[in-house]
Amino acid sequence: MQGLGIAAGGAAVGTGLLLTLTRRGGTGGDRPSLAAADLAAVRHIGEVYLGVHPGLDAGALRRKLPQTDLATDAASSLRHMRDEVRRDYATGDVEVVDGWRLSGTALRAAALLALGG
Amino acid sequence: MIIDARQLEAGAVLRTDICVIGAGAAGITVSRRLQRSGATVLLLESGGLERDEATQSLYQGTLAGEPMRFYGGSPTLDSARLRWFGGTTNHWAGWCRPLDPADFDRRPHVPDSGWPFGLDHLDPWYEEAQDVCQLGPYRYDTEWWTERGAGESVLDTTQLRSTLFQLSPPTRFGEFYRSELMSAADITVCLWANAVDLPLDGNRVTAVDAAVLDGSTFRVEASVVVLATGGIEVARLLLACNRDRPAGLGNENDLVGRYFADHPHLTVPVVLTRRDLDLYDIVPRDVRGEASTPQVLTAGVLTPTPAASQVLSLQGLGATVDLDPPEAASAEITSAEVGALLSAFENGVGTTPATLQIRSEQQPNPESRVRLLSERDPLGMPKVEVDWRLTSADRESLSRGLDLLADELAHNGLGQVRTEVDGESALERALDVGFHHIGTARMHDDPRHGVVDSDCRVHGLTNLYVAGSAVFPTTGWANPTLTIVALALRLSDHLIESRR
Repeated sequence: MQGLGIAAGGAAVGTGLLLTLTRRGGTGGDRPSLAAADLAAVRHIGEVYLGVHPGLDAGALRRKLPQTDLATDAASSLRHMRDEVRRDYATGDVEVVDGWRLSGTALRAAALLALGG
Repeated sequence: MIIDARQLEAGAVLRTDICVIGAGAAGITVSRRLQRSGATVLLLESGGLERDEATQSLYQGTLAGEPMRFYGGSPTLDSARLRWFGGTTNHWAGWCRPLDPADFDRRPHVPDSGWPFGLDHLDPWYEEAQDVCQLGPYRYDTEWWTERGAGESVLDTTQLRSTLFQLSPPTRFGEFYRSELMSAADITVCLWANAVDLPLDGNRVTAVDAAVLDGSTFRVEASVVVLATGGIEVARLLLACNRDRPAGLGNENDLVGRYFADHPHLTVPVVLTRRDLDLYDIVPRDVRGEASTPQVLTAGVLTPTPAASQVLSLQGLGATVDLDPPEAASAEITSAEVGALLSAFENGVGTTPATLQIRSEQQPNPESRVRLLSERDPLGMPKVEVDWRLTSADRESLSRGLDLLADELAHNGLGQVRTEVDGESALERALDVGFHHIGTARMHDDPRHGVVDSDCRVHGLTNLYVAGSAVFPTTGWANPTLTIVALALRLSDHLIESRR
């Protein structure tokens, strides 16, 4: 699981951040671990989202996620991702999935996780 | 003094200056205020000092229109209201706040909106109403309470602002004010007495004809009569008094009973990153610098800012958070899973499943109404049908307001809201009610648009007044009791002034 989504040269996109959060003993207070159960939960949300949007592929999802450089500045990358998620609610990039009004960025990241990429 | 109408001689005639019909929050407040005014007061109450099933059943009627729900059940007209001394305060929950300034305004997106006066006019009586309901100072700004030991408000943005309710103990008006009323020299409380007719002489009510369940009748001759029987029963009596005026009293323009309103409520699951959004606080005892000041319980509320309300054409709306977990509903994505998603992007913060309860204003709607049935109760009074109607605008406003709440909470990293439950949105779901019966004798200085004028006097009659939520032209989103008490104090002062 480690390193999934991290492209050559160290650049990573959204799922890389999520997966980084799963590493046990991740460095620094800005990178807490997500328990395996929580990771499964996020993946499940991604699966439900993909069920509503069957045509989506990993490439399309990656292109819509914020580009971050995890290797060089993980903390600010995480903050950037969080800010994108929050900003979605001001810009209208939200979708109701199974009744939950969720950020488009968060949904795309979860879907990418569900696709394993 | 207290008398029992069941002990009166058949055909007895009682005389008083002011007869108040109904001993709930409004009627008791009017009666108390009139003490030592120089007027004698007779306060008629249908029931006794405790619940009596035969009397309670006089509230039976039918419901039509929108299905009403209350805490998951289907209420009936005789479960929503209580018919003994103290009235429905015998089971109210005590939530108090004044109406907002905008609730008094004419608003383009709310037809038939507008009161004859603004909030600032009613402020002095609201301030006094605080004491009547055993509340703290007349302050509903969160900053003031925070300075005095309440928690910080957690959300104040350009879209949403934090405000609060104050919680009455709750004051059971019949219990709390009983000894005062019973011992007042100029007040007579008459229990087990049901007003059944208001005979006229020209444009003046000459008396209240009353009946007891055992069949006996008596009369109260009064210079002034105040109806304080609640939003449904006020309309019922006005419509039923059709001997001298075939359409009923105050009903020359077919308005009595119309504009019946309640507060639609919607409850949705939410996952929070902060438990203090619940915002219940007990403010320190010495908030007023007095050792005997009771503690004040406040409950935080989120409400759209005036600017957001204008942009989105929102009707009044307020939301509270309840940390009790939501009832289980069918869900492909659970609250726990949303919590995990939220935590992943919010730096691993812990989350709490909770419930968001939204209460909203209902548009004045003349098609939502109380009407008389041909079926009669044991007193011979026609029963009522309450035909509660919502408009598409009501649901659309509620839906936009819910989306605003959801988006602002999420935008500020405070939580995620499930706006649809069991596949139904706010536009489709059966809504809960607040048991707030409002608007059936609405206030307007033009008799073509109202049943009572700005003094709460019934149009077309010189000495008949209405106290209570029946006179509200609009509902706002706040629970009505504090406003009921404020208006009752105002009416009483008008009656005192009129006697001078």
